[in-house]
Amino acid sequence: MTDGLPALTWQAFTAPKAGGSRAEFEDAVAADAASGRFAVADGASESAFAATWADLLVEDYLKKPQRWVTWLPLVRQRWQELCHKTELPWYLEEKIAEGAYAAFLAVAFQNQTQWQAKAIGDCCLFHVRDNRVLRAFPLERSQDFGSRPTLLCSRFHAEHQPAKCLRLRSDWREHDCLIMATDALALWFLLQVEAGKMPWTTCLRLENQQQFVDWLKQMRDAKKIRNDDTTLLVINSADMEGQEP
Amino acid sequence: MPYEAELTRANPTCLLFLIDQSSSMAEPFGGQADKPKAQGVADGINRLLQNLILKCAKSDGIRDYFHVGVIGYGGRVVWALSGPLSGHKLVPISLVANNPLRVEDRTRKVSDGAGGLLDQRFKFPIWFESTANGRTPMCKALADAAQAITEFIGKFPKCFPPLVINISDGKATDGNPEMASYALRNLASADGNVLTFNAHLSASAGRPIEFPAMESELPDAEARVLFRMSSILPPKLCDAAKSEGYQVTAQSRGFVFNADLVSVLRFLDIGTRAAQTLR
Repeated sequence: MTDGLPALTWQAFTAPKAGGSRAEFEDAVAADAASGRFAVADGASESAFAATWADLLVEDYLKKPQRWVTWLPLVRQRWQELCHKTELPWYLEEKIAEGAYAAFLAVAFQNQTQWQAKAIGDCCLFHVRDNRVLRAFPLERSQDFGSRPTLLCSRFHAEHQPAKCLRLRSDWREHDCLIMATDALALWFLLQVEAGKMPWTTCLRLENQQQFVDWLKQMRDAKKIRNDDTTLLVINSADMEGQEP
Repeated sequence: MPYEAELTRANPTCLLFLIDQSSSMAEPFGGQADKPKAQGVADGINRLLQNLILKCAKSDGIRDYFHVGVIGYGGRVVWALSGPLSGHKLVPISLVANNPLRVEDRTRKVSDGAGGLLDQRFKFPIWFESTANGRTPMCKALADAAQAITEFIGKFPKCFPPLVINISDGKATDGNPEMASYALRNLASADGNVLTFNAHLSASAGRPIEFPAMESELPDAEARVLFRMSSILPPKLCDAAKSEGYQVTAQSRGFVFNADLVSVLRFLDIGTRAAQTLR
């Protein structure tokens, strides 16, 4: 653990869309409690090489702490290099020219008591304290979810309005919890909160990937969570371990 | 609710275009003397196929969410994809993607973000070429379409209902097409009846009538026949048309009368939108 950061633990769960395979999974998640950096991304299904883009975003975010404006061109360059390994048919050349799109959400702890988040798109963060949601970010209500969220493109298009990166700074106390999720699960979470329920208790109770997959299948079958690639990342104070949520 | 089936590779839908190739299609659109109707339609179909392919393209190849086909009707009624797919009927979109007749290098203007324009090169594949001769055997084209769609529904009984788009500039010369169109629209998957949309191309510069809801909005018997041959827009498509600024109601039909080139291209875009919401 880096000096000056809180002791953290985390658990990440992922599941591809029902009917899709692991190879087609286009969410990505990366976490490092020691550096206090965490990220999730959701590659857009209409893009090609969206999984490559989502993976690069989260992994590179953890590796290279630097300013957004410096970091983004480098990670875009890397995406192009990875895509152009072989000669490609006309449609993949066109898709690479269009670029891949992804929603991106990252959290970085600054010190024992402060963290900040960056978000583009509809991956969501929920800050839970004292058994209530202190803050939902960047979307705050279930009706904020649309079918066309602003996404981060792997190409710079001069003709496009650049996607706006939203930022949040907040404090951290012992026993706080951060829940990061891609859109299908985040929408369920907000709907539950709006119905007066406590969805974080479910997230905190999950102990392993199999439990997550089984629970998600139930929710999908009951049409409570949309069938989509799904990722959940739960960050806790290290001394939360073993406690009942 | 009908028209809700999810598009998957195991449960694809189909898009079938019926293109008038009679001799009058060599004439220009009304008000656009430089563009023969046949050429404008061929460009529109090629661009639409390209867009569909790009929606289905992933890094590991093309996902077959669609089967597509083109029937041309003029001197003959033929399955009209060219090149390696010549004579093929409904084909998976991956086969279309990998078998164009040729791929042209074209240039388009894009904004440079600083008030200027840049030339951007892009690939433009061709599958369907324009031709114009003979009469207008629309009834035979509709019957051939019904046969192919019947086979498709047999294979994919739960599919999002097949969509047939008929583009013509004139009257059928081989009978009344209403019966053949009715038979086609009567075919159904578990998710609803086949959708048949019609675009009537104009040689005059009059105002297009887009997505009409009542026969009384139309000027003549020919237009009313095509209106009756056109399906009511399913709700999602109605919403798509509304979001593009069209005045539509729950009774609006997939029909444009007296279309110029811009109107027919917008019609193709909206008409195929319901089948394009991939997740």
